[in-house]
Amino acid sequence: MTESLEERFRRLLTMVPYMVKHPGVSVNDVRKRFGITRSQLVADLNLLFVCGLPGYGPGDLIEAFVDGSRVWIRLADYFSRPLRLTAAEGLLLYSGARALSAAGAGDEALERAVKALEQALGPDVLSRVSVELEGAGELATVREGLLTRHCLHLVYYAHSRDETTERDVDPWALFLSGGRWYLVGWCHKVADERIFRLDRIRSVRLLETSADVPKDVDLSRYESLYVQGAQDHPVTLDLAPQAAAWVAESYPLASQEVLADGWVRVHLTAGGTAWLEKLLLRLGPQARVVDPPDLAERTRQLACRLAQRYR
Amino acid sequence: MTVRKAERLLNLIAFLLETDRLITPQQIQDTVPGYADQSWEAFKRMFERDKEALREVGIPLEVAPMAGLGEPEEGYRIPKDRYYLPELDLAAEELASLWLAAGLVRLQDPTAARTALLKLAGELPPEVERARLSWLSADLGLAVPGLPRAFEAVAERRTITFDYRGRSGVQTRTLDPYGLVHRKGTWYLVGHDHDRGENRSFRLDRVSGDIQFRGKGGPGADFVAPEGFRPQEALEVPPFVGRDVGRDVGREEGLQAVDALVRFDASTAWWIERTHPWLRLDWEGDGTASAQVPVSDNAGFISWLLSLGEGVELLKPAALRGEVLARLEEICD
Repeated sequence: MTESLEERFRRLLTMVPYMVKHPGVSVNDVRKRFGITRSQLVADLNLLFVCGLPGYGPGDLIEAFVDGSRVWIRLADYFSRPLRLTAAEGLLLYSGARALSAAGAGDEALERAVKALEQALGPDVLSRVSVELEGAGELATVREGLLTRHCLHLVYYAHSRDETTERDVDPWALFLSGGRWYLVGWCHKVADERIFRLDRIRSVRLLETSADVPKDVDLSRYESLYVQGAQDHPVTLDLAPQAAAWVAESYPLASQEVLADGWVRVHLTAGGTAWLEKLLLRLGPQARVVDPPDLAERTRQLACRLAQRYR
Repeated sequence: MTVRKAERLLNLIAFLLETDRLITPQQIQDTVPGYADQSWEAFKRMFERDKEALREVGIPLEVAPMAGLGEPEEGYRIPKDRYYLPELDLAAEELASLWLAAGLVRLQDPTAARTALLKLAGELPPEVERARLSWLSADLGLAVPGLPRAFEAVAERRTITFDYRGRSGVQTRTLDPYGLVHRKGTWYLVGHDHDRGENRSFRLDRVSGDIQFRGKGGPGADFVAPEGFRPQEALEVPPFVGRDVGRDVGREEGLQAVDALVRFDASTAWWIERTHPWLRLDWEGDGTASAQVPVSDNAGFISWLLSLGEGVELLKPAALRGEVLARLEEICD
């Protein structure tokens, strides 16, 4: 992979200070530390060698050279300290720290590190950033299950089916997506892998039984959030343009296409359809069900039941 | 070509960083190798692109008018106090916790965390680099384009302009960004909207194209934010809730709020309590709860109500109940 100019500069403005501070550091150390090849390092030194301060003569230009397996940079005092954190780096570290502490995995060292980060980014800059992460009520028990590898007993509200169930789960991992926490684990009730939204765990109890946790839970598998299950079925809706934009922002869609009349046909997969009925209820005339056909009828029945209350 | 550009940029950085005075574009052209053989026009274009390149790397470039005889002129410098990372002296365990924090966040660029920590610490002991929490991960939506730029504007108090996809199509907006909020996976900019003359919030995923700084980047801030402004308060309540709750950011002008009384049944109330911190629930002994909601946008409110299905009922006022019924009858007739 070739490095862009921007990436190269980011690296140089961190790497040069390191080499200035450590005269005669080994080439291998620099290579490993900054993840570059020997020829990249040589190209960097050749670049530095022709740069410097106005005058651009000996004494103005940076001295950069390799002697055997060691490297020196001199006459570059102005590069002896690294460039400040970029906005992206600052946000990455800060929001990561917030997630870590919201998961209850932070400690005093993390708090001190965040203080240092505040100092690095400038006075009260971080007070202008609010990373809202729910610290859902049952997080502490779930975390204990994860750390001690114990089975959990959940009372869980499945929004997609509009039902509350009880089940024992071997907790595998916790992840945050869309500002919400999810628990991944093995559900003994269905004998399969399942994802549970933490804010829908009505209550949780730590069991004595120890949990089976696979060695390498690959969390990137859950990146798209929705892992297809055996009972999932495809749903197709036609939506008015405004409704389509909102739905696309709010729910994971498999695909969408614009129809001749400007409406949008969206395809998604759903485990249950109770949530879809409520979605259709709120969209009203801005949505038409294409598939499955009985979804429209069930939505109509829900609307009629609700209408009874308001008559 | 690229080598020459890299050389020119590095010399430009060194020149502007080592000086304590402002440097004119003319002095830059005369001094920095690579510019001198260009015509004035070609130099200016080249210098614009180079300034952009410095900005992308995160180098603070300051522009200020220069006092002097003759034509008013602008000068450039890279202020040392803003360029250099302050000495932080992080202990190994602090570094380790930041490494874990950065490791949680899934990013397209896996080297970003390393670079940031190398900057902070100068080195990364191997035992720190190996540390990882296998049971935890977080997607904080950091990949949304424009986020770094938005944060920069908030941090440096720069007035910005950007194209925004709103209800009435794409419009160019001008904003004094007071703060940045991450809520439910979405990043919002909140601040003073110049065009509307009031505080508003903007979803970053609806910004199209680049966020531009309106000013040239003088040494001071472009605006002063209100004392004690808390960005999260600006977003605390959904847009259908009336003015008298929370701050007035994002509210429609001149709307009267109507008090609605809502009751949640036991299967829904516990969840509402967790997910709607802005609602004050009055609990009954049987696990049901009710709440007053000041409604300023009926359609938005009804939409929210219906999305909660059978677990909720609007008790008062009668007129709003009538509107809910009309919406339901559209579907069931």
